[in-house]
Parts: sequence; C-alpha cells; structure tokens
Amino acid sequence: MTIATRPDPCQVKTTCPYCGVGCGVNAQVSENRLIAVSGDKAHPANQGRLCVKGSALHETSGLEGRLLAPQIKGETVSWDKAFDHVAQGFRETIEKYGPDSVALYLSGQILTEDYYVANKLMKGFIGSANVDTNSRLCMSSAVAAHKRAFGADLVPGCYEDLELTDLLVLVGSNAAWAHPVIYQRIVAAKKVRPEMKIVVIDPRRTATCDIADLHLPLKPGSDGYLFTGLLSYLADNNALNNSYIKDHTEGFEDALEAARTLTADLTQTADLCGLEKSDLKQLYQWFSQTAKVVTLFSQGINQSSSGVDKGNAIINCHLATAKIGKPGAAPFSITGQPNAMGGREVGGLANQLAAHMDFTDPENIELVKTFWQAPKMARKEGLKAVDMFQAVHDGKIKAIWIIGTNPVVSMPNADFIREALQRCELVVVSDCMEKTDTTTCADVLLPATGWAEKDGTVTNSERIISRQKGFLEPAGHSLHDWQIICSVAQAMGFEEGFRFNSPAEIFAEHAALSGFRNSGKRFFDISALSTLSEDEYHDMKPVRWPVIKNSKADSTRLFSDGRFNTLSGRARLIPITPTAPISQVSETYPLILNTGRIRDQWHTMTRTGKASRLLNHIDQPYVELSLQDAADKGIAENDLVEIRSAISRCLVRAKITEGQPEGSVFMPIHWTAQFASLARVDSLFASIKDPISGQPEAKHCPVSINKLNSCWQAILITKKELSDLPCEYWCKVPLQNGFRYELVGTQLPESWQVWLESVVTLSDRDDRIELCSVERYRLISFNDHTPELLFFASTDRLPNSNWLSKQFNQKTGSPAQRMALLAGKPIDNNDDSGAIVCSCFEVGEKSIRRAIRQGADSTDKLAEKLKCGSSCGSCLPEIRALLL
Amino acid sequence: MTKPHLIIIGNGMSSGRLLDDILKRDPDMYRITVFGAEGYANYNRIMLSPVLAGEIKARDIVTHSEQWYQDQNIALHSGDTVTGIDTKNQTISCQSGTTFSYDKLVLATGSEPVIPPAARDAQMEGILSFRRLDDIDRTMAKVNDISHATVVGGGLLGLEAAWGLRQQGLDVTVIHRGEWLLNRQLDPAAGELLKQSLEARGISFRLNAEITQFSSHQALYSDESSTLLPGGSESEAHPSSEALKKVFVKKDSEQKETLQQITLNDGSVLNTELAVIAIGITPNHSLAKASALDCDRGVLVNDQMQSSHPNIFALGECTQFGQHTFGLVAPLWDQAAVLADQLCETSDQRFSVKPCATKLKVSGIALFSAGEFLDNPDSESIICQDFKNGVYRKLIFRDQKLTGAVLYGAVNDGNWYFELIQAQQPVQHLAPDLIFGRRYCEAESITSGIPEIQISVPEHNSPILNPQELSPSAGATS
Repeated sequence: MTIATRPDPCQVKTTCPYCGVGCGVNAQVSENRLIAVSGDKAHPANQGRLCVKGSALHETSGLEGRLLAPQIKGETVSWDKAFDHVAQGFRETIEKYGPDSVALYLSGQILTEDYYVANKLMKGFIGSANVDTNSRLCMSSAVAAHKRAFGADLVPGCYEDLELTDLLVLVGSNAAWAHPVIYQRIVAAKKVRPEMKIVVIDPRRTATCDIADLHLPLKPGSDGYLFTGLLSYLADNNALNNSYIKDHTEGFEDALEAARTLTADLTQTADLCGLEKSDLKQLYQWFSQTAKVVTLFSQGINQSSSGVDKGNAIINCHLATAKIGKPGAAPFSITGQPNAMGGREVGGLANQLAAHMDFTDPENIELVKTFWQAPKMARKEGLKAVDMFQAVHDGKIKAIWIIGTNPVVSMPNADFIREALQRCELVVVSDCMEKTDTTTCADVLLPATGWAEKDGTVTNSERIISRQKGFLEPAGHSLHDWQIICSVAQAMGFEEGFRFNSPAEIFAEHAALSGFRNSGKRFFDISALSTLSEDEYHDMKPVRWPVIKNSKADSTRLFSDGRFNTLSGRARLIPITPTAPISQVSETYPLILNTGRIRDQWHTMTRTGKASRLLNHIDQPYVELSLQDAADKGIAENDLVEIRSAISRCLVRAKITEGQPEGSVFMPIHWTAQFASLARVDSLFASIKDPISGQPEAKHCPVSINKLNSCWQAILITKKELSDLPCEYWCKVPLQNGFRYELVGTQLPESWQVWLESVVTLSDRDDRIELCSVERYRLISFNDHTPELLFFASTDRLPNSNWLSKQFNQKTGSPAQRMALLAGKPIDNNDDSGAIVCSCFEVGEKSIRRAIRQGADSTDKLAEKLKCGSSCGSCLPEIRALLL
Repeated sequence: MTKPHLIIIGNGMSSGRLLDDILKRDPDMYRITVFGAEGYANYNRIMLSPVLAGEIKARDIVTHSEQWYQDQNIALHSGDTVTGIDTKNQTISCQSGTTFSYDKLVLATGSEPVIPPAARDAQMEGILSFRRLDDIDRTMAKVNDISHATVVGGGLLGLEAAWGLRQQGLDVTVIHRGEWLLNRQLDPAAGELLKQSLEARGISFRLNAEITQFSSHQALYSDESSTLLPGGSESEAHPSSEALKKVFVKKDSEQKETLQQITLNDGSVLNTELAVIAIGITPNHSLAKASALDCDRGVLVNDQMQSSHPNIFALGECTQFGQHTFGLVAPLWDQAAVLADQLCETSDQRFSVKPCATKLKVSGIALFSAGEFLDNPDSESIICQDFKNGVYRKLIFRDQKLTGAVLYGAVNDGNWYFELIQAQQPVQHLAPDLIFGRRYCEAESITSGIPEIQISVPEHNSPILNPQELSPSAGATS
C-alpha cells in the first residue's frame, strides 16, 4: 500500500531506527505527520516495550535541519545534475586511477536494500571492495570471531535465551543504557526467577550493575585474560564437556595450552585483571556449575586492539562446556546499530564479498559474478575503515561517497579524518541532515529520506528481519538511499543490474543470492523470501533467518545439532594469548579514557538531539571520574575540565562518581562540533586497531585531566541555531522552540553587550530588561510579551538553566513577572498585600483591612501593628477612611 | 503645687510631634504654652503639594486643631510672634506686648526658604516660595488667571510643586541648576527616567540652568557686567550668594510689578506668570541669635537638644547639630523623642544623625534613594533595568557592604535596603538576588548544575525611623 492510498489517520507497524535490539514500533500517522509511537506487542524483540529514545521518535521526525535538496559546493542543484556530477566524478577517477581509487563508506543505519545495491555497485560493477561501513567500528571484531569459531558470521542465540538462562554474564555492555529494552527484559526475568545469576564485567559500575549479583570491576582491557583464565579453570575443575569437545569442535588442546601460558591459575588471572581472587572465583564457579549460561558481549569487547581474540576467548569457554545452541546457553554478541546485521548479511564490508561469502574462495567470486552478471568483479578485500581514510588522506582514494554516517565524529583520530576529507578531490555525502561534522566537509550533498520515510528491511541482533516502513512523504526532494545509489550506478553506465523499482525487488534479489548455489553450504539462507510479492513483502512479519523453503529446521537457535558452518562442520576453538591494550598510561597521560553511550542519545545526536526531552537526562558533554582522581586534581562536580590525549583535547563537564574506578575516566561518544566546542571524544583516540577485524581500540586511550580556569559562564537562549561561539566552551542544548547555549569563557569580555552582539542580533532596546555589574550581565529581550532571547552571564553562579529554558517562549505579562525572569528565580509575585497605602513602610490596603478585622481599630493600633502612617503621616486620611 | 511652665516657640510639625511625645510620657508634668507665627493650627507641611495639586483640602492636613489644644489644656498663641528672650529672667516677650515667664523653653522656629537675590530684589508680584500654607493660598489664588508657571529648583520640593501646578492645569517649566533632576538623591540614569516621566506628564525642564533675570513687561534692567553665573558646583540649597548678587533687577517704581518673563543664563527668555522658588531652606535662628544663644548656621544644640543655655532647648529645622542642619522628617521625629525624654525625664536617650532615605510624592512615580547614589572608584554597583516599564534599580557596595540604593519605577524593598545600609553587614554574597528584593534572597534556589553558594539573609533590624521629606534642606540627605 502506498502512502497515497493509505487511510488517514492510520497506524503503521515499523521498526525502531536506533540500537541493535530492533524493536517493533506502532507509528500513529495523520496528515503526513508522525503524531505518536508505541511499542509493538506482537514484535518478538520488544513485546510492546520502547525505551525513552524510541518513545520520542515522533519528536525527532520534524523537518528542522533536514537536507532537502541536492547541493554541489553549497549550490542547490537538480537531481539529474547531482547524479551526473557524482557519476562523472567516480567514472573519471576510476578511468584515471583504477577502481581502488574510489570508495563507499556506509552505515549500520541504512536498510538492507540500500546496503545491497551499494555493495553490488562496488564489488560487481566498479570492481573494488573499497566499501566499508561504520559497523567496522562496532561489530567487526565479533564478526571475525564468529567466522573463526563457527565458519560464518552467525549469532547462535536469541533474546529469549537472556530470559531462560541461569547465569547471564554481561561483559563490555552497559545494556541498561545502550540496549534498554533488552535490559528491561532481563530485569523482568530476574524478577520472576531471582535465582538467575547476573554478573557484570566492566571497569565501571554502570547502571547495568543495579541488577547484578556480582560486579567484576576489572582492569580496563583485561577481559581476554579473564576468559582464558576461565578456560584454564574449567579444565582444572572438571567442568569441560569432553564429549562435545570431541564430537563437535576442533582446536581445544591448542586453545587450552595457549590459555595456560598466561592464565594458568586463578591468582595469576586475578592479578592480571586487577580483581579480587574471591570475586573471580565466584564467577568461574558459577560458570562451571551452571548449564545454561549466556555471555552477552558488546563494544567493551569488540572495540579493542585484540577484540577478535577476546570474542574467541569467550566463545572458547562456551564451546568447551557445550553452552551453545541450547535454550538459555550461548555466547551472544549484541549489535549497536539497527541494521549492522543486515549489512553483514549483505556483505557490505571490505573484507566480505556478499551474502556471507568472502574473497578467500574464488568459487564464491564466480558465483556472485554469475548471479549479478557482473561486468567487473572485485577479487580481493578492500580497505577497512581506518585504512580507507588513511588512503583518502594519502591521496590514494580520490573519491569517496559517505552514506548515512558521520565519520568526522565517530572515527578515531577524528581530526585526521576531517583533514583527509578536506584533502580529498571528491567527497559525496548522502544524509538526511544538512549540517553535520561530515556534511560540512562534502563537495556534494545528496538528500536522503529519513527513518519515517524509508522503506525496507533491517535485521536485529537475534537474526530477525523486520520491515521498516515509510509512512511519511519524503522530505523536500529527498530520495531513498537505494534510489540514489541505483541512479548514480545507471548514470555511470551500469544500466543493467540497477533497474529496481522498489525495495521489494531488491530484497527478492538479495534473498535469491543467499540461496544461489547454496544447498546448505552457507547458513545464511533466506531464499524462501525471494519470491515474495510486493504485497507480501509489504506485510512481511518479523522473521528469523535462516528462511529456507521446505526446511523443517527451527531457526530459533543455530548449532543445536552441533553442526557448524565450517568445512568440517566442527566449531573451532582458537588459541588465544591475551594482550593488553596497545597504549599505556604515562606520566603525561596518567589516566585511561573509556567511552560509551548515554541512555537518551543516539550516535552523533543528529536525530535524538532534536528532541529536547532527550536532553533532560544529560544535556552537556561530560567526563566521569573517580572521587580520588577528582580530589587529586582539585576538580569539583560540573567544573569544566580539559581532557588531553597525545593528539587532541576536549573540554567537558566533570561528573564525579563512585562507580568510576581510580585511574580511569569515561566520556560519552555523542557530542559533535555541531553541539559543543570541543567534545568530539574520538578526536582523542589514535588509530589503533585490531589486526584481524580492523576495529579501532575505542575504549582505551591514555589522557590527562585538568580543571579549566574559567573566568565566566553564561546561558544563552535563543531561537537561532549558532555554532563556533567566541568563547572557550560552548554547548548547544536544543529546546522545544529554540536552543540553549551553555558558555564558559576564560577572559572577561570588555563589554558584555558588545560580546553578545557579536553572537546574536539584538532587537530594539525598548523591550528589554537588563542587569549589569562588573561580574554579571543579564539581558532578556521580549517580543509581544514573550522572551525571545535570554542571556545570563556571571563570574560565579548562574540561575537554573532548566527553569530559564522553560520560560523561553512563555508569555510574561507583568513588570514583576519580567523581573522574576531576570532574577532567574520562580517567585510568586502575586503580592496579596494590596495597593500600597503607606508608602513609607510599604503597607498595602489588604494588609490594613486584615489588621482592622483582627481588632486594630485606631490609627495608633494600626501603627503599632503594621507601622503604617507612623512616619510622614501622609496616608493617615486614607487609613482613617479604611477604619470607618 | 504649680506645674512648671513649658513654652514652645513655633507650631510646626516638630512642635506638634513634641507635644504628642510629651503627652504620651507625662500629660500632667507641664503647663504648656505654644506660640505659632503662621496663624494656623498645626498642619502636616509634607502634604502641601497634594493640597496644591487639589487632591486634598487644606483642612485635611491639619494634625492638631485649635480644639485639640483646648482639649489638652495647651495655650496656643497663634499668629503672635515672639520678639525676644530674656535668658537671665527666663521670660519671653511678644509682638503683642505680653511677657511670659518660663521654666523650660523650646525653640522650634523652623526654617525659611532660600530666595535667590535676583528674585528677592525683583520684589515682583508672582514670585512665591513653597513653604507655608499661605504660600499655597497665594498660589491657588493665581492659578486660574495664568497659563504658565516656572518652578525654580529640581529637588524634591520643586518637583512636587511643579506637579501640583501642572495638576492645576498650568504649563510648567522647572529650572534646575543641576545636570539632572534630584541630583542629590539620584544618579544621572534615574534622574533621566524621572525627567522623562515628568515630561510625559506635561512638565518641561531646563537643566544646567539658572535664572539671571525676573522681569515684568519688556522693561528690563540688569547688571551688564554679568549674565552668566559660575558653574553649579555648590549645592542648590546654598546658592552662591555672591554670584546671585551680580544679577540685579532694578525697580523703576515702588509699585509692585507683575512677573512676565524670566531670562536664563544661556540668554534664553521664557514667558511666565508665576515663579515658585524651591531651591532649599535655611534654619530660622534669628530669635536665638538675638537672644545671644550660640548659633552658627542654626541654633547649636547638643545631643540632648539643649542650646547653650541650660533651660533652653531647640528642635527641628532651626537647629544645627555638629555640622548638620535638617530638612527631612525622620531626624526631627528623633529629636522630638529625645527632647520629650529630656523634658519628662523619662530616659537619657541621645540624638544622633542617621542616614536618610528619600521618596518623591508625585502620584504614579515610584522613587527611592538611600545612602550613596553615585559610583565611586572604590565602590561597585549592580544595575537592573526594565526599559519598557521604566524600571531602574541600582545598588552600590563597598567592602561587601551595601552603601546605597537608587530605585526608580519599582521601589519594592527600599526600606529593607535602607536597613541593610544602616546595618553595614556584608551582603554582597546576596548579589544578584539582592537587587530583586528580599523575597528573592530568601527564596530557595532551585537546584542547578552550577554549584550553589549558601545564602544567608541578615536579620531584620529593629524598626527604623522612616524619613520623609519636609523640604530639600542642605545636607539633609547626606
């Protein structure tokens, strides 16, 4: 059903665009507007739940900030011109420098269909595998670990296992904030079965620890030791499943030997992990004694210079004890993005070919070539993200097309990435937002549709393919990513192969490729979906792969039969010698910086940053540090601090918490140059990566922290969107009808007014209120009794900024109300003393009448009680009149 | 046993207050006789401007009627002037020829308006002061026949007079020597706001201006040597008499002429039919001086209000205490209380000079000033303005303490500031809440991301004597 033929209003079932949980969403649509959202009770992932980000989706689907038309060098152009420009740029670059001189950089947030055509274009028609994705930054270590252990990128379990398990080990995951709906499912399960044990392995005591029976605050980056130590412990304590090892695995002996080199006994391991021996033993015992164990791992494992090894160290333990392929037992990698899995299925990464095939087997290349009828197949792996941008910087890649992601914020050494793009001859960026740190580096901007407009499929962390449905008309001239990619492909001369009329047609081809010459060789097979009609595709219910025609196998869990996707059919245990993170602390950089998500923001805030509600939780970039480190550095809560690494610096607020261990600090990943002066945390990180997966070590960076000697701070609230404000620190906080800017300066301006006028245009002085002293300046200007600009600057404290934000755009009538606003304090100004009678003592008529009722029946008695009339006596006639 | 005889010379506000205070303490201690030159019962001089404005009647401002004196057995000699004191025999003699003996004598002879020589020498019909009820009577007698009046003096009294005249329907121009209005109470910004709102009420102003000539018809004679006066560095209340003397309008006949024009120091000429002089007052101490009591600018008193003669006391605007003379009501109330205690021997309270606060009695104009009002290199100030609503508030701090408050448009908490100025406790930690008023300082701060400083509010002080203007006397507000 198209948008045009749909009833209005109506409810549309779709999928949330944020994390990898992949929740089903009911969208209430009316007059081309998303008016409300609720969780889809029928969706297996969330069963009706939504987190705070998901439930604010309708607040982020407005047109503010959207990119609405194609632009070349800042000039708005027609689509035809844009397509020709991009196609010609890529074609000429390829002709001149070869296929590897161009690249595509995709996103775990585009849909499977978008991924499919992009991957097809690069690997089958341009002839290069220089197509990578931001999934490289979050999932590639898990992918590589899966492939090493299982023969393919396969997630064995499903979310239900998190509820069915008897021991849930969360490692490198703050699910409470990063995957809130999954966390809520775990909380609910724990409530029903309190005997279910929950262990959190994380250097920090995060919100996830609230439900933990045991928290292991291990040394940053020491997870590998913990799991090789576990394998040693299992072997030493008769906790192995020898028959399973024998029948279904290979490499056990080597793996155990490797484990014993560094972590042969508990004491050694506890020492390497910086843990109490008894705590560690508790986990090992539980793991040994519990048949149903799930180890849920995420970025804390993956974003590491030895992330693949860490993944395999975890999987080794599950294989050696046969805690896999059964209800409530699995190693479980949970993804960060809504369609990281879809991208992996398509093969949209530089080291993959397509449909769970890679370049190692030439037969695969031929298979895909045949299926695609590809004129020019890529024959080797392309450059993974870090190397890709290095090649851009080096001038080896001369044209890059970035789709739906923000590498100038999210890549390590982010300033280097910006520099690389600034040097690059042709930078094309497709995005739904006009102004991001990456779009500002683009030569060509292509407006893509946003979540509410896009139509296609996504796959969540438990292999469920869900429909994401477009229910709003595309904003402005925006097109779907698959349309843009296919149009450029055709403009490049690849007429055949990109003649798709709908996402359904693309999906059918994708599904067909998964089954093409498969016959059980590749576990990823959704060929049963290749014959869906347009309508069937439209109404497709969430479905977990594999989906094979006439197959009786249950797709709920993989490997239940002990058969893996390797040539031998056996799972492989990998010998792991754990290593510490590459960079270590020094005198100059004595602290380890860890990073992560916060509860209410998503990635670079381009969408969640639009909902003021989502900034109520945390509105400014911050660094979390321990009580001891704060005391050592003389840092107080909310102080502005400078975080320095060897390559860059950030300015953020200090948040002092008991959960943060001494010697390490934590910063959220979300703030960009659009939202704050210096808070792009990834600019601090060097480009250190896992040698196998190429995933950057984004959880470990030596830094120093110092209090910034600020001189003044200010709050500016205005409708206008500003950036690059002339002060040391600024942070933009979107409000419902404007923006609040938190500002800090290190030098007192000579004139506040002049400073302010350099930032905003002030309206006529007539309707303004102002407060000035040397230390302070406050200005509120009104338009029709409504504050349209508030500026509060001070060398010490400021009024509550949330209260001020609430007053913005609120009618403010009386002079007393205006003063209360300037005072920055909510005072009840409805003085009930009445009109002033005695001006000497400011006694009002109502007060006098009250006193008279209470027995003051003469001017003397009133004077005694209220003092009224006892000075100049001018009011005595009036007072006498009141006495009559 | 005969009661001792207390004679009070003068029947103004301080005299009335003293009577009240004595009667409250010991109504039977003295036989009391009061002499009043004005020929009225006792009235509230502060209320002259509303009478002029027609807002109230003269009878409304009477505080002690003739009947009241009868009821209290006080002998009132209204309209009789005391001409001499025989300190040796403790007697006084009157214009009527009578002599009275006293046990205790109180001089409450008040003050006289300062009249610039140019005006005094002009001897013209239409030049009046604004001091006594009969000044008002004379003014009121003229207002129906004229269209333009000039007020000389942009101090509190001058502005009140101007507003009163304006309310009588006249076009009014205020001639003010200062750079801004109320330049002894307000800073330039507040003075400007006051000027704007008075202008909006139809009053015109000439600032930095002085009258060099009062003239009738076109027949003007002036001392050609000077048409300009030296700059106004001196107070308006004590105009440079030397300078004023240079301007002299000759009269060519004994017959009183009628004022028709004034000439200002910039040479401009203004047609006007009435000039009300309100540039200040000077203590009326001629009787004391003639009776050989120690006098300087006023009758010198000690902190028990005693003159150089032990049984003679002085009270009110005629007095000089140290270097201070008085023109606002608050210190007069203090003096009356001290003197009543002395006379009734009820306590040994001593008089001291306290800071004063100022308000302007022009309905619809809210204005408050206490303590310092101008910025100094060693002071800090905080200013709060609502341009649209004509609100201006300034507080001045020195060494963390509040030393001054100028409020215009919104005068809430003026008295509290006045207390804080007198208390001299450190309060700067309350800024910026302080400028918004007491309730803001006491209100809980809402929690903020920014660390809060603990707020403590100084205790409420004992009741203060609230000052009110009698007339803009020199030094009264300093």
